[in-house]
Amino acid sequence: MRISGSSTQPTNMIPTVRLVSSGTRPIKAVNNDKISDVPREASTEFHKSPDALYSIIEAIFWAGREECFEDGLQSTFSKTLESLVKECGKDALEVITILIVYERVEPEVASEALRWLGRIEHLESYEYRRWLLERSLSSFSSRVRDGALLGLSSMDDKRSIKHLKVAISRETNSELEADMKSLVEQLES
Amino acid sequence: MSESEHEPVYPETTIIWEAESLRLTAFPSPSAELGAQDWWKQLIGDEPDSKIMEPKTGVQREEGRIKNDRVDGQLILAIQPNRIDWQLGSILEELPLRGLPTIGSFSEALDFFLEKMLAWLKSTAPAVNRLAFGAVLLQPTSDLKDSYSHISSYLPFGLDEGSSDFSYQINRPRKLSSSDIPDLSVNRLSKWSAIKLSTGIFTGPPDNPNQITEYFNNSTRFAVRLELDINTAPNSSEELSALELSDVFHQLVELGKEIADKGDIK
Repeated sequence: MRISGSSTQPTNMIPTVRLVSSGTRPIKAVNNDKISDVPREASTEFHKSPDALYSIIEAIFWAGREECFEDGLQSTFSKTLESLVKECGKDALEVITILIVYERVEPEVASEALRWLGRIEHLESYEYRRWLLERSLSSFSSRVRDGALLGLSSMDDKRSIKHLKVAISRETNSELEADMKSLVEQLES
Repeated sequence: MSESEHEPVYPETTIIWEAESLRLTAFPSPSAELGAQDWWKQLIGDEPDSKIMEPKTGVQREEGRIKNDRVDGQLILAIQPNRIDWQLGSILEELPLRGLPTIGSFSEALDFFLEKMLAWLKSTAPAVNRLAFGAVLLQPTSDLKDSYSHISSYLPFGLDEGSSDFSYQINRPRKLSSSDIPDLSVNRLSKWSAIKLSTGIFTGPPDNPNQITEYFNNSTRFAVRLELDINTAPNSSEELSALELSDVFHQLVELGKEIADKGDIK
């Protein structure tokens, strides 16, 4: 937009919208790259996870490649993951979702993450974790599907039956298919 | 704030609100297949102005301008693994010198948005188990005092003269009454505040536009801002059928209109 008249100077119009406030908090602090401290359990507003958190979680998954995971035993990776989910909740899970769904991490590490996501005791993130586990049943990687199955087994939630049945109808690995059927039986009993 | 002896005076209707943005958010079922889609073209009848893939966030984003006798704004379709957003918002780069950055009156913009969204939900939307209607509404006022006076008429308490820095957010959950789906809880979030809008003009030399030599404060405007986020609770894993989806979304919109009309009511 230009100012009318004889001026040839380029102009830029900078609109600003702000809450009327007499606070002294720097405006920059309002939009800084930190984890939100506003409760948003019921909110569906889009909230971008902080870039710093993305880098941290990506690095944790990267470091996880060097670990040897043993069934049922907590690893440094799973302990760190658990702390992050409890500390950052939805923000952390959004990053984990991108890394796992878009297959940006090693299947073995993704599988370990899913196994532990089913075991974490954290009510606030429960629905999101269950969604991610059910979603991961359709992963291209059988390792990831296996991790999701173990996670769902730990959750022991009847509401997963429907998604397990869809996954069974798509499953190409006979061993996994049998495990999925066993879990359906477990949940139905 | 005096909580007692305050009788809210409900303003007329949603007509007095202008819409800054309207949003539909659909949360896909874990079994939904989100592959290649041409929802935009099917809904709008044309290609979007831009298609962007943000590698880090995994967001697929399509954008285009919608201009007709009811709305003028930017429509955005953003797809992520865990959510699909349709948002119709004002174009900030074209902020008017007078008035507020809106897409049109709430009632007219909502007519258009609802018509498009219901068409999408009935025809091509994937399996969804949670749905939300969001809106940011503005009501122009003459100054801060006027803003607070307007806000008071929508709230169950009054704001004392001379008070400032007011912001109020509340969730008043309800069950959907006429739905066939049993126990569908709905979150009714509303956030009330007063805003001040300033438009500035920066000037600089033609050979170095980044160097600012002069600044003119073009105009200042005031408004009441209402943010609505009406959504089905996240603990349902039941997929909603296409018919249920459109019915539920319609009801979420009605709940939003009720708050815009009557204020913060239970």
